[in-house]
Amino acid sequence: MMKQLIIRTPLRMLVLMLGLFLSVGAFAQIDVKGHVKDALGEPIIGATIRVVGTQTATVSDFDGNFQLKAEQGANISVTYVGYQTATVKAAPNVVVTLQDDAALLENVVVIGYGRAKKTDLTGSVTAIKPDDKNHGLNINAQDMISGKIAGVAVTPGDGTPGGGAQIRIRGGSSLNASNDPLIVIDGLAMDNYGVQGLANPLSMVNPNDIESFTVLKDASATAIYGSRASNGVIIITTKKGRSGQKPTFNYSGNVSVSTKKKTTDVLDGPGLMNYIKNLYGEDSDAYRELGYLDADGNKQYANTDWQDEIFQTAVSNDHNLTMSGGFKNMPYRVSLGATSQNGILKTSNFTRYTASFNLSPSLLKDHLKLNINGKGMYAKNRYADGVVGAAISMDPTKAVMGDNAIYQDYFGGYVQSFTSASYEGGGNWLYMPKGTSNPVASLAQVNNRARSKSLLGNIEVDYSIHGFEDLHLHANAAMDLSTGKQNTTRSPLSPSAYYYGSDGWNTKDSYNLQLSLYAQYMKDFLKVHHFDIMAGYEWQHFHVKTDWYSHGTVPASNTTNPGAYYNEPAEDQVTLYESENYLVSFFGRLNYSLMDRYMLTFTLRADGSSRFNWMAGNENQQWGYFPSLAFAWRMKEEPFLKNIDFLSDAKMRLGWGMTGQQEGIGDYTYIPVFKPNANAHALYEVLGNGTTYRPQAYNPHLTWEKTTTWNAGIDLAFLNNRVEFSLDWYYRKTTDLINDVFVAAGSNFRNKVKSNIGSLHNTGFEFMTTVRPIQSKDWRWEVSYNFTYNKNEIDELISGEGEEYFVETGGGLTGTGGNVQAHTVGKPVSAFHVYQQVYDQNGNPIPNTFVDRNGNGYLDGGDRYYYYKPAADVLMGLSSKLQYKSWDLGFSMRASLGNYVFNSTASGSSNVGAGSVYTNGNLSNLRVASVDRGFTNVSQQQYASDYFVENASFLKMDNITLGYSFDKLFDSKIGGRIYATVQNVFTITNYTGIDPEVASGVDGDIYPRPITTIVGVSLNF
Amino acid sequence: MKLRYILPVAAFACATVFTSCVKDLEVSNINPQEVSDFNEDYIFNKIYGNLVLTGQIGPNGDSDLDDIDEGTSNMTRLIWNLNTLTTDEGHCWWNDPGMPELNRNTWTNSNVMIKALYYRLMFGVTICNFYLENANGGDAATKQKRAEARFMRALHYFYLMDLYANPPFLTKLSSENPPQIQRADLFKFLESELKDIIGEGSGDEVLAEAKTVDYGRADKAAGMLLLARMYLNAEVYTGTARWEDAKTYADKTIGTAYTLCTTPKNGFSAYQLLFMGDNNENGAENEIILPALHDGEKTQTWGGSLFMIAAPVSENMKKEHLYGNPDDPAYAGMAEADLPLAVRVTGYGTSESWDIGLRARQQFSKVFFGKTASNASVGENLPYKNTAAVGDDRAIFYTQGQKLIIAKESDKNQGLIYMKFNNIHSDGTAGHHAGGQFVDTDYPMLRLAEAYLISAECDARLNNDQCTTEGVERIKALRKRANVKTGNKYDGVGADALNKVTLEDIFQEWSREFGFEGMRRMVLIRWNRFAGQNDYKWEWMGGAQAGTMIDARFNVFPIPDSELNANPNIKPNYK
Repeated sequence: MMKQLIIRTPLRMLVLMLGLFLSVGAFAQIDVKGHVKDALGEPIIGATIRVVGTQTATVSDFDGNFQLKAEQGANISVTYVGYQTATVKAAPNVVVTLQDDAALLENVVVIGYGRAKKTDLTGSVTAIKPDDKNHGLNINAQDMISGKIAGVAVTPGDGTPGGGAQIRIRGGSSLNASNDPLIVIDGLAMDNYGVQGLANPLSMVNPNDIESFTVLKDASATAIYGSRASNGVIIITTKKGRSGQKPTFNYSGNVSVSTKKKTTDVLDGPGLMNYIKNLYGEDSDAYRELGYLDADGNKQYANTDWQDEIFQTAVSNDHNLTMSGGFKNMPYRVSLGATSQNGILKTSNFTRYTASFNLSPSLLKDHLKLNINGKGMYAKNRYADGVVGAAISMDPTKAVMGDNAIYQDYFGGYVQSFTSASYEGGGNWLYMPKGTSNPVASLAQVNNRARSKSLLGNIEVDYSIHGFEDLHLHANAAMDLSTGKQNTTRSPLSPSAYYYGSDGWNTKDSYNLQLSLYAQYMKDFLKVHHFDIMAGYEWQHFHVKTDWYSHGTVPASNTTNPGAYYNEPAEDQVTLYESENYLVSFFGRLNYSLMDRYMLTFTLRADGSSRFNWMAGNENQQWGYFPSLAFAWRMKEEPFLKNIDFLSDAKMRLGWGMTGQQEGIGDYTYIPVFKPNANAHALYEVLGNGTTYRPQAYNPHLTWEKTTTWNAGIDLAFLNNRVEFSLDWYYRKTTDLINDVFVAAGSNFRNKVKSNIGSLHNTGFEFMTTVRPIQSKDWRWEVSYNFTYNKNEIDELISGEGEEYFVETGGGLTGTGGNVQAHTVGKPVSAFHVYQQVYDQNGNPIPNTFVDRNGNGYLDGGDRYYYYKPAADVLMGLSSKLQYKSWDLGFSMRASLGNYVFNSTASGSSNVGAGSVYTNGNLSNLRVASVDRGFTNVSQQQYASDYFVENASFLKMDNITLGYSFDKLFDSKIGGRIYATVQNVFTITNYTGIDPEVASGVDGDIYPRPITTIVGVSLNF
Repeated sequence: MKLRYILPVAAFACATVFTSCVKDLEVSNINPQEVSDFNEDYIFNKIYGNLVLTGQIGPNGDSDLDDIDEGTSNMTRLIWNLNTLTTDEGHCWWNDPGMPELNRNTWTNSNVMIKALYYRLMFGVTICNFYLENANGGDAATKQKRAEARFMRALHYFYLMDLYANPPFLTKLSSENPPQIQRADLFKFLESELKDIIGEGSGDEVLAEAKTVDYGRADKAAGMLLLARMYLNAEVYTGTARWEDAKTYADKTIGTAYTLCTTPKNGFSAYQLLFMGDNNENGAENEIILPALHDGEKTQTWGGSLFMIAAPVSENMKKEHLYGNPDDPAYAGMAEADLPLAVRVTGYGTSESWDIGLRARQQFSKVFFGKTASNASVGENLPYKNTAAVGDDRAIFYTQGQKLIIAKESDKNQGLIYMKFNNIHSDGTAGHHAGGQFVDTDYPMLRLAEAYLISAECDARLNNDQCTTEGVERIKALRKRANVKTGNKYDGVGADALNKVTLEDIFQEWSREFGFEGMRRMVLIRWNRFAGQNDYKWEWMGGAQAGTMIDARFNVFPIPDSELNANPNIKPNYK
């Protein structure tokens, strides 16, 4: 009922307004002669010139000239794709200079619930239009902003095709709740439930459809998003068509080739044999485990490089077709995209199809503006999980395939380590695999695939009231429907589901509905006072549903129950999971500017979230209030700077604000509930049928994380904007941090409970500059550089005493439950919490020997200390774009300094002694680095030694591109560009692992990022 | 003009919409996997279930505890590890986190296994407190169940007192940080609590008479035996020995309706029946006072009895006749079906085999094979041959290819295999788990034989380290049940001829009767043969093959660093 009411009300009013429409009278006509050119003085051919409010229109000719009739003083609009629309008064002779879109974007930026002129901004806001010439593979939206914006760290995920990335704005404000920024796509704030088969919500949008990114960094900009804004906000708007434009088509596509860059050095076949011989002797089970059997049952020793066997050179392609134009005053844009990305791990693939449309009609003499978007996405994934580690530890003396009957009959022809076995009713199934699985077999015998669909849509209505045009009413109804299903099929011959095989799926369906309403009033008084007041309301509902099923199958050859399902979920097992939450908000903004020089912004948002307690005794915890205040001074407008020509712009900004954080805490953490046994294997029959209930841990007092931000910035531009600077300093303090922490045993129903445990702060500064050293008719060169320094420290963690209190995090240690990082007061977030290795005279680590830091005479947990942290101190991005006539050459680099990584794979594989190389009858290959280190007996503490914490500072060349643009292809009307790009070109680092860029700071065996060569073309017709 | 219309309409719309939307915030949990209603019986089941279950999905998938491998977090498995691997009895060669440090007595307060058991036990205490706070029906059945919940809480606290000395202490639910209790004070609490629920106090919440409630639930005998065990170790906990009291309650336990399991079945010895898949109904149930219930279908875990069965064995043992020889001339001419089940059956009743993870240390093996046993001379290969050769049904060793001495910790062929538990059903029926993995064997938390040993030990301690006739009879009863033969390998005295039992004999007898049942550490500490002494050593004690002294602080397990960190009321239990 509610939703209908809301949508209906503005529509009714609009219908009412239609009747009040008045027509305009006519005036005398004159001949208008004009010329259209771009900023460099080149004539623009084919621009549409229209007399506003009439059917009169023409097109500029080959020299950019036009001629038409119009009333004296009528408005004439000039439009051309890629340029801002210009409007001039009708006169006998007019010259129109069109500014290109980049300039448009620079002037007006999308902000929360509105738009603002860049010059009027009081907060720290960076808006960029994706650079369509200087980039690597754009599979996901985040690929377009990596390294481009100061204060925004985009750490790409692993090399998984279609993989996601970690995005951190100003270091993140939270410990463990969530540090992901809020993502707003065409006005819809995305949920955090995720989509099965998609890396993150950004995957839903085809990057080619993106018009602009706006990154809101400081609280005066973000506080309008209230409780979800502590980690910054990324606003994405998608492209639109242009009014009156004839249909134009664009095709862009590329083909790319990816190959592996670096692999882990491990022993080869003879190397491992020799090692085993020395360690255990030739007359040992370990030595007998080496090699494989030939067809006659004789031992053979191969020398297989397993990492060579699992990787491939992958060819991928990407195609996009767009049609855009304006049917009368109905601009439209329709696009189709198809991406097929193959991974460098054999079998892995990501395929995505996207379709989107946009209609943005302007009605009632521009009083009523509609913006209708629809985006559909269908993606398929095939994953190749877990084989990288297996390829490293698989015995190299084994061949990939073998003719021996055992391999042929039991393992599908793949060589596996095996042992004797017996299966109930299994007859001739006499063997089973053991130890590390042949990774090539895993790729072939496990099929793990996902299909995802999503539909994003919104209808935006903006109405400026007739007769009271200073007041706009704005409504946006938006939704996101997503559904994903992942199927995993394992062959009965596959070691991961031997004998029974397995087949299963899991699904995730989610929806997210949003309705936003706001009214905006803009008014100038006495020419110097400008008011812009906005007040609004928003309702959002998030819902998620997951389910799963899996089973094995008893082989058809079995004597008992052939073909029967095995290990299914019990019939009464509830596998369905559902959860939802609501967010109800009121918000407002006041902008006041005096003489275009002094600007003041005040915003306030009140957010009500169903994720916090409302029940008796704990009421009113669900409302949070998030204010902000900002002040800007446009110094350039002051008389003493106004006439200084080399200074094009100068502005100072000061801001303060509070934001919140409520993601990553679960929807019902405050509600006490019981968990019944989920299947019929967790019964305990002392009463009745043995049903067991476990009271679930809960926290009735859980509250918002709150971040208070102070920001000071200065923007300068010189020499007609040829040199631009922007410098920001900030201090951000987060209180009531939410984290899963060990609680006092006995004080809750679980040893770890989600709690508000303390505060931390981030402080740093950011510097961005764009320099255009050469701007001539033939040559253009633009260099952008950004620099970010960020430091964080935990200020308090609530507990009785505090001083030695810490919260473990991050995992990383061999076996389960081992954490190598911890949060503690006075140290950075997720500092490494390790033992201090003792070294011998030659600087080599003495195994199992550590400094007794707490001096109690023996080794215990108290000897661990805090040693560096994973976040970088300094991040830098540098990109350059050089154009000479039709040629362009660009590159992008990134550097990260002071980031450390716990080399978990080195730690976990460090034991090369008799107790580890051959255990439980299983043989492991060894890393060369581990053998060289020579630890033969490794204690629990040794795995957590500071020896494995490495400086992972790096400099990466992300991509280099060479392109050539043309106007007329073979004398046709087709213009466009061809280009070649190399991505992930090189990395300079001292880190000893595969890749220093590890978002979590704990390096496991990841899917390595490939080096990719791309050849592409873009055509306009 | 237009504003006049718009504003009221908008105001009305807003008022309606906002009120109903704000109401949306008052959600209830829609997750179909959770429920809101308290159910007394289901919580009661969870209390007992904590002995075996590790979460709400069997055998794993929804752990009760965080940061700990779920299979490892099983209560009996952890109690077993902490009380066996740290002693002269058992050795495990797996490199599981925390395992090597237990083997070598070099653990720290960050050891994951020590941590896991601590939280497992405190989780049990919390569930008991929750039940006691909410189950308030005044009827007799509820009072009895409350007495059982108090018993279970006492059992959890007993382990906390024994292993961690000074745990946090609370008897009501509270979100405050609980205070720490000193070991001797906890002893006093448990003493009065147990006396109360066996009917010797003032309360009316009393356990059922022995053997009058369903198998699996605690009755008075359970309360008495736990009390006897506490008194037996009272000197360790409080500094004051209570041998008289220990003997009194041991004798009271012996006086209940429980009896030793003495009748063999289908070729399985009476002693073996205690540790088999149908020990809830093969006669063993008369001796098992408190079982940790297992069922291959209904109550699945990767710990508990499955761990006891699967961890010491290897794949090839599945095909062996472990309990009798079908080629024995005695069975010549008999049809296969007519042979006793123990002779016909192969393997040990589960498809799981964990590659000889657990092995006996030589000190333990020698308790059976005699002090002079050497690497060259140890035993026969199969269990039935070893029980015969040693002359004791309890010598359930598998020795094929195994050496007596563990010279190299990681060599699974060093150290004998002691395979006390199996999942064979003595009546020939199949195990309950359709997949053949999970076991039905109940794990005896408390069994009557312990009362016999406590009684005998106290008898000796009260009589200059030598048993009176009464004590000798107690030991004799156990040895008779075990068919101890004249000429047995350790002292040569047949069960019937036994007439002299010293305290030292009882030290050995504890090993023979309760070997691999998670009791050894308590015995060693009582005898001052554990940490902080230099007289008694076992192989790999302190990390050296020959054994080396370990610091006295190892007599208790450290309170985990995570707890010291989270609860400022808790101080380390040693300096």
